Amino acid sequence: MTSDRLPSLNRSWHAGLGLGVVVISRIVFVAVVAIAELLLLWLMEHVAIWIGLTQVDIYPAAHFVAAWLLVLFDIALLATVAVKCVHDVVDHMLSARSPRD
Amino acid sequence: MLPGSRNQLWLTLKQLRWGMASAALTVIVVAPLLGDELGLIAACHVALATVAAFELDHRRRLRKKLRVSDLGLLPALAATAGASALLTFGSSALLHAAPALAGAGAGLAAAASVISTLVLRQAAVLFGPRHRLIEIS
Repeated sequence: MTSDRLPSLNRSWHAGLGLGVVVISRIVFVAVVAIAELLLLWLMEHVAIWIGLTQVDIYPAAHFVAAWLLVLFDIALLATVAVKCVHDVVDHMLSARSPRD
Repeated sequence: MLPGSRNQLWLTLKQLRWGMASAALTVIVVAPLLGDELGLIAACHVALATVAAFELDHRRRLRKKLRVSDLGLLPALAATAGASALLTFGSSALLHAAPALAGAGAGLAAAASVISTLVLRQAAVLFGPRHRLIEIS
């Protein structure tokens, strides 16, 4: 191993580490959002019962719409995070293969 | 916040908004005809395809030297529709749906992705002509 290869290996290692941190942080973010949604749902259900909102006529329809909005948000969030992670990994692999000056 | 990160955050929020709208449109198109399960499957894949299209376009905008010619609207529409249809058909087949049902779901998913791109007015933003800045010295 020649000495002039060492700086490029360090750069590649640091870039890979940075990429790993970004991917893991995104996964943690999604997990935190999921837990927050569960807590929010639980809170909304109990608040609705406490204030008697479940007796209102439009409550079932509002509950249906709110549940679907949450599902659609989760779909979009997971798709966005997955696409960004894949794109970052592919960019890293392509930049690692390109020769450096 | 790091320089440029506010733009990144705003672009990500726009991407999320468009993905959510695409998924909603797909559920509205597919679920009444083919059921909730197929509607959700199609919504997931249409959202994935549209979010990926946004990401690719966003990344291309950041590159200063673009070696390849910009894709026009029709190839981009065909790519997102084809990806949505293929993913929906594959997932439905894996979940043991009938081939005719899976094919119908794939077709409706493709139609939903095309409608999402055109009607939701992202085409003008995403696939419009690039404006070049000419510096006069």
